[in-house]
Amino acid sequence: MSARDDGGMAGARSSLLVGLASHALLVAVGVVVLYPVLWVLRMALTPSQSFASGLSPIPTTVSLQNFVDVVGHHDLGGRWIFGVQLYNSLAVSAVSALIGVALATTAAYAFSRFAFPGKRLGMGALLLTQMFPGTMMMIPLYILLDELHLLDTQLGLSLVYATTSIPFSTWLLKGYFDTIPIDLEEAARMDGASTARIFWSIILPLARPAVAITFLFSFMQAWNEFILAAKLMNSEASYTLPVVLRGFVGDKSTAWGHFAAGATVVSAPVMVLFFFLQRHLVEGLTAGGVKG
Amino acid sequence: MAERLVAAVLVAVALLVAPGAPAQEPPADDDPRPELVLWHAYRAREQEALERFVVELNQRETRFRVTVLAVPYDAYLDKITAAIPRGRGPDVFVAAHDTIGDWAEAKTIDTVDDVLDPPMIAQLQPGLVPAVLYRGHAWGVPLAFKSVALWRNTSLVPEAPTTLAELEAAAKKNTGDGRYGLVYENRLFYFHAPFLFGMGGRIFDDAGRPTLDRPENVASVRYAQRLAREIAVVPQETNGALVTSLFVDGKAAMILTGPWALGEIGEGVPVAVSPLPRTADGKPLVPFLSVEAAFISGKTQRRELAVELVRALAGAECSRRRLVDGAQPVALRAAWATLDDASKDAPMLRAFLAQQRDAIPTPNSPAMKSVWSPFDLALGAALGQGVDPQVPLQEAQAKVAAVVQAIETGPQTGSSEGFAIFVVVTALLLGGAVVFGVARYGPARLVRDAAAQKAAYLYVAPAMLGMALLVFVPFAVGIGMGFFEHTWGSYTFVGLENFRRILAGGDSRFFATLGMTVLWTASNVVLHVVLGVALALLLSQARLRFRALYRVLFIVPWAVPNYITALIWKGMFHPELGAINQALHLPGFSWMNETWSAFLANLITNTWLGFPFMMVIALGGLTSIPKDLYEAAALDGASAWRRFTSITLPLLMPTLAPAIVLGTVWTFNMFNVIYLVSGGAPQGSTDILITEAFRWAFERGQGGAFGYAAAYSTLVFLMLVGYTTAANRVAAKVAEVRP
Repeated sequence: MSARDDGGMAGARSSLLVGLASHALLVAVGVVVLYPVLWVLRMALTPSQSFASGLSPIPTTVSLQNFVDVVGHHDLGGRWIFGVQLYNSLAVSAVSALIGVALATTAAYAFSRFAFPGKRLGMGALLLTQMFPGTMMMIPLYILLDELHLLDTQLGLSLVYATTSIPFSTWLLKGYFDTIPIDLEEAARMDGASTARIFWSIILPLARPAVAITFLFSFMQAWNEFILAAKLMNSEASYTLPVVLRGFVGDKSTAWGHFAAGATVVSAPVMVLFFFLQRHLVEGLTAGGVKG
Repeated sequence: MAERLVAAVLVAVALLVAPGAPAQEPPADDDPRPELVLWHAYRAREQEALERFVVELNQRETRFRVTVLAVPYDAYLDKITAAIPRGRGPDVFVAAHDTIGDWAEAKTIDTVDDVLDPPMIAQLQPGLVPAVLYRGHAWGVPLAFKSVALWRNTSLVPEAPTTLAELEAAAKKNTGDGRYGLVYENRLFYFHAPFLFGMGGRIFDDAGRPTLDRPENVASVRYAQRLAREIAVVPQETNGALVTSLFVDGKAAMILTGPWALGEIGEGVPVAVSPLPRTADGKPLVPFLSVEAAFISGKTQRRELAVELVRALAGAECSRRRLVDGAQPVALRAAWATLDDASKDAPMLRAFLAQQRDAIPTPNSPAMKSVWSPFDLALGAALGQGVDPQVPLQEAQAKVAAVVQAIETGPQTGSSEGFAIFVVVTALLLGGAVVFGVARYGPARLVRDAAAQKAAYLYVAPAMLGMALLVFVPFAVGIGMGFFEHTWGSYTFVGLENFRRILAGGDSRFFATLGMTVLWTASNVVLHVVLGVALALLLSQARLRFRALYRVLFIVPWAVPNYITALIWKGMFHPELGAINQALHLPGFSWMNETWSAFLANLITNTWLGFPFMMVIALGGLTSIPKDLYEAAALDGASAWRRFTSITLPLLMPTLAPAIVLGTVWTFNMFNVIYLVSGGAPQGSTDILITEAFRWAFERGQGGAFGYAAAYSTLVFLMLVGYTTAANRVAAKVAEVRP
């Protein structure tokens, strides 16, 4: 209530105060958010493999050795295996996100715009998949992929990731489609546009921010996943980066320096992706002006 | 945009399936030698030593070639259990001996009586072979052995203590000022075992029945209490990472750990290793011995060649490399003669060799699997809350005795009649549901409406087909498993018995865990949503500077894989060394000793992890709220709060509501935070249903109580179905009421 605009000097002063308070709050949150991550960075930059403890996350000795070890990892045949695994991660994540988003947008469109028998059942079924603990599905999934000859293939892994991301993506997209006014479509339908045409040319462009966010979600889910990848892939050349990262954790000991450096390397592309997709979101915001 | 999307999908798929993509293995088809697959979970130096040997073996071996795969330890045992029965596993694998019982029962491994013959046994370090014997057969060929010994910082403790009295004296001298005399993971039975066996304790009697609460065991735990609480030379709540990290920082004068710590400890401190000291009676402390052995898969098609590979792995050349290059205490006696005593690792390795004479192999029976976790809990109670060890050890004894009893009686004999009834009932229920659904809608109307909405089905079909195959099928099988009992790879139909046992509360704490899960979920979701929406509102102020920067910053917790940050948070909650207690000036306050504080630690960690998701969703939702609504409201003189409640919140809800439902479901099943931060401490009271199900599946005996765990998961599932149905009803009501 204090932020109510009374006009004149008081308003200017109060908006300045609101601005300062906002920044103070945001900076405080930023510190809490960053602190644990700085620990990861500290361990990555410290030339040792032990866990770091204490209050200050500033490294005392700085070295890039852990990064060199992790990124420059070659297998015994002299092949740059980190590069291969990075490619695997990128390919599997990108493909699964593309497939997942493509299938989810169409499904979400139908759920948002059509009233068809089985709609509620379908939406319910999507949600149900999120409720069963994944560990119990592991053994059947393994057998299934083996029968389909998709075990130890990147396509198999991508399909599993894509299908696991569909329910969430569909829910998110349906929620967004619901906020797009139906008048636009009705107008287009009057002009004789087909459903497909409306979907491609009207809905999808308007839903760009939501599509971007679902892509990010799906990509990240695949990018960070290691339990399935470690189980389904049977050669070092088909491992994804999280599997490699998990490999630094042993039974009773962990190479913390390598682990932290690897974690930094794995997290960086997601940050970059978010940064760019965020600009996409801002773009979508201005394009979405018609929505009112 | 649409065309580009389709093109991108096609290109990406082509990229994956294209031959010659860099991820493909170089073709080895021109190699006429049959392939043997070797799996191991070694890393760092041990991995390199083993794999270099394999490379050389492949160059000179004419009968076969070896493909080697290093599997992350976390996934290793599971992967073996899943792959070998399908014939997709290795021909030979290297692992510790303590799972032999389960593997032998499930026929995952084959006996190696023909390989481990008397001449070979004569070449091995004495005392190792009993570790690989089970039911009168040898199941693996020992390659290496590991146990804990005493590591000391020689600048703080120049002379190795040889008795417990000397150990205490040296420890007292080096305790205080943020430093500790002796550091070990005293709440883990594995690390407590040297004291237990050294003081005459035992875990099984001669007949193989558990005897966890015998007086010697109680006395050994009292001694651990003395070290940690009375003379307080051992810090509370350590974990493996902290043990080595304290040692490296010079804050721990002595530690109990094994050769695996070598990589972490590095070269920063002057270090020496010696066998564990003796008790006042002159008896040695006796640690568990873990024997790493080569196993032959029960499913290998090339057993004769696999035998040759095992011989090569156990042979002189490979042993020398593993010892000298890999710093691994190896089983082959002759290899120790090749160890250069001037080398840096030599004294340490010889100390572990000496310790091996006073170590006993971890029992490899399936019953042993059920001892670890109850004993750990008893140690936690004795050391954390300071209770008399007698009480928690009696509780542990009761738990373990029940499991061993169940193993002895074996799985209930399944009745095929019962199974037939189950199948018929399930089919009738499903069929009935379909008929009811169709009848309620009206068959004629159904056909008409479905025909009218053909396009809708076309749009939904691709997603649904993919999910039907890869999600619903495994899911249905997973539910079905709840009606079976699993023992070593074979499933016996037991009907509703698993559910009855869970709900009767006989051997689990289902309802207490359920209460904790509900509390956990509710508090998390509320915090995530409040924080997420508040930050989204702050960030969507039109004139805010550095907006993009803040947004990227706040997404960080969500971008870093949570199994990493959960571990960091656990370190931050440590009573002595953690940043949180240091910042709050709460030295020694133990977060994990009380349910409320352990819960709070979990909650803080998961809020940190979870708010960015809600924030992003809220930001997305805020962009779709038209600005002119606010302008109109401002003109009408609506207050900021009023604008929030009557414009922002209602218009945010369509986007936020599904996220809240999903967030609830996810938090309900949030495994990593609970498992990694509190680990259920104290006494399993902060465990939630999903971690409890996991413990049943993987930590409580008989090669995994998968059936019981599946039943647990099914109950979790049913509860979530109930919740979401209710939530949707409420949401629908609210939507109706709103004008």
